[in-house]
Amino acid sequence: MADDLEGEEDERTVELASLAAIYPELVLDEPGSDPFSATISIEVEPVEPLSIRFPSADGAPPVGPLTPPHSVIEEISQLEIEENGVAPPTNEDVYRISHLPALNLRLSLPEGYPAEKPPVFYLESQYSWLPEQKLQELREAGHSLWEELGRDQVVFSYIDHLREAAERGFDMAQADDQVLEVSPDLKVSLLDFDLNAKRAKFERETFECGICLDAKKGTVCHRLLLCGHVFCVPCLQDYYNTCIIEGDIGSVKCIAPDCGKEPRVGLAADQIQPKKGPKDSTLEPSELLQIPLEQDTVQRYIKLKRKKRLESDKRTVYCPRQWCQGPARTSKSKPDPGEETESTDETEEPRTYDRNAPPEKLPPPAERLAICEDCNFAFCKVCKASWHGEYFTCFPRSQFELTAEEKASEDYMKLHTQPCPTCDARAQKTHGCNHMICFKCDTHFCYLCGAYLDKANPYQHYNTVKSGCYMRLWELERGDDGEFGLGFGGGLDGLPFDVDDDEDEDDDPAPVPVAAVAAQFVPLAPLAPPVPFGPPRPQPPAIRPARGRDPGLQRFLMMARDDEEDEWDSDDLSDISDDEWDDDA
Amino acid sequence: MATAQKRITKEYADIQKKPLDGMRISLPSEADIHQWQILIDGPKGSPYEGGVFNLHLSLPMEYPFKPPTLSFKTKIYHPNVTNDDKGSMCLGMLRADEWKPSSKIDAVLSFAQGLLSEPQPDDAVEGGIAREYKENKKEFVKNAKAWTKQYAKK
Repeated sequence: MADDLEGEEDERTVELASLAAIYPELVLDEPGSDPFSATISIEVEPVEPLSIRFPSADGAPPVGPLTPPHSVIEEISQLEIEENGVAPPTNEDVYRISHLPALNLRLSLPEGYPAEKPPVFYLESQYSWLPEQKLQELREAGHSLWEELGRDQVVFSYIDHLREAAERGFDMAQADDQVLEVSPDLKVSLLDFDLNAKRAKFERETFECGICLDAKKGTVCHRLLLCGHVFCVPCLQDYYNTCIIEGDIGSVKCIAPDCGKEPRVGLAADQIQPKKGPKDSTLEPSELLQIPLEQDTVQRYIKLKRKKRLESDKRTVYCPRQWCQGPARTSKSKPDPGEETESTDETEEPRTYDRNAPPEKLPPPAERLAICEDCNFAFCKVCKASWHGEYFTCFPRSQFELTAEEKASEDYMKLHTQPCPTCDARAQKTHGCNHMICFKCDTHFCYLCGAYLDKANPYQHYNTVKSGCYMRLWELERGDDGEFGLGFGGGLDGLPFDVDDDEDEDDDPAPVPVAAVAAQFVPLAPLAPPVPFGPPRPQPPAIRPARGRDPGLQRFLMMARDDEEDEWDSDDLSDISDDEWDDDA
Repeated sequence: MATAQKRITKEYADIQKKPLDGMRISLPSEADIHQWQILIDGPKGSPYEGGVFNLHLSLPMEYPFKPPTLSFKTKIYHPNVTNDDKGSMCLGMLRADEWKPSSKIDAVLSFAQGLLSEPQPDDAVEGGIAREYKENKKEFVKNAKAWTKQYAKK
């Protein structure tokens, strides 16, 4: 019976040999060790992806208290349900995974197999993700199969059985309401495995790029995260670069003709959860980097996107600097592009504010700060001056903030006083000529137009035809207290900022755009008594400066807004008086 | 713009291999693949039936990132085609903001052909013709037929 004996021995060898032919991935043990042992790994790629949840380590229920990012996702999910009628996974911790780490099957055919002894199967899952109970079940299946087949060669059937089970996801968690729980320690490994497996599969595929119309290998293609359309990388780079360079950032989205018109289906479900509201289908900067696009280009994309978002926000205010006019962020600007779902319920604030509106229609002082996106200029969005802090009021003060007395006082000041062009201290002439010397800073100026006068030759101003004050030295000789009518219409207050009277420029090297009023001038009286200046000219009196805000500060704020140089620099002044004016004379 | 050259060549070859019904396409100048000449037969059942319309398709250097422009060289009485000597049309997929780079020329041409069968008066460039089309279809058909006879004779 030598044949029989050989045949019996052959039976195991033959079985393993034919298995190796069917499954090239079957690895026989090294020669020298047990000749009837082998290992094979069985891929787990269920037809329907498995729903897997990774409960948090501390055992807290997955739907815990809502943290902010959590609630955003919930909100969007909610939106999607409404828009698409497709229910996304209700729990952010549930992942639909279609590629799982393989099962390793190690088999050993003992003496007497198959007729007398069952085969020995060791089964384990890579990363041990499969529950032990399930593994046990699968191991036992091997034994019962052997019995069912009448104790015959069973390995092929068993491997087939395992493969089928794997395709069905081992009958775990495939119904909508079933979720397989896996230790959170494995979360990264499993997701990584899934991603790599998908990527590998993707790279083996071939796609026809809709732009160059060529068939391209997956290795040079990119699948758009949002919709799953595939294009080749060079075409995407070409297109998106052009869009971003031309500033057409609205076109940085999928290029497929019908994309975005129908609701997203299936494909994205087991991939990355959409992070955006349904309306915005432009690509995330991170995806552009993945394609990849140059970092500089993506930077520009981010910048333009942000700008566009600000500009589409009706509440955005713009930089008052004329050379800038960039959009400015304020405390009310949307903090994050991810939260674009709000906005409609809020009452829209106007972009500009009427300074004279009743206070309740203006934002509270603490909310008036705006910072220009482009030049970083910080300004008040109500008065558009550089930021004055929340404890100062806007200038000039709104009539609603003034009492009748204050208002009358302010009006009187506008009509009957002239501010010093250097320090803004207001002066009222009681009598005499129009050559004034500031009581505070000794600046010489003209009472009629506020121009600087040369200390050495103040009267040249009144002898120059072009100055506008030609031959007007003695106008209002008896004072400017309203009783004698007005020869000049008051100071420059109330006029727009840029009343640079050009006619003055010859005599007046530093035209004075004095717009600010020392508004908190209360009370007006008492006036300072006239100071004798020396015969024959009586010295024009000066009044005390307004209390409250320092007018110099006010002008500084104005200048900061227009980004002007400080023309009042003392060096400049002495230069002017020493050289220029002398030349003029 | 090697991309443009390559893609247009490919599309032209495809169209020659698989011609579109009722259309004959050629290049006026072999040296310039960006300019195409298209002869479209007036679709059956439309007032343009029996006519042949000469269209010009111009593909920009940035194609396919920028849309092609399509114009009628043959005068046509149609709400979506301007009545001047340019015969230009601008709607739907040809608009710069709606153009998708993966749209192909055969789709553009089929779209134009479809427009002959079914004008889109709500998106018209010739308001008068559009109004007539909507309110007095009989008159429109009469005019369109007359123009076809006069200008688009085979």
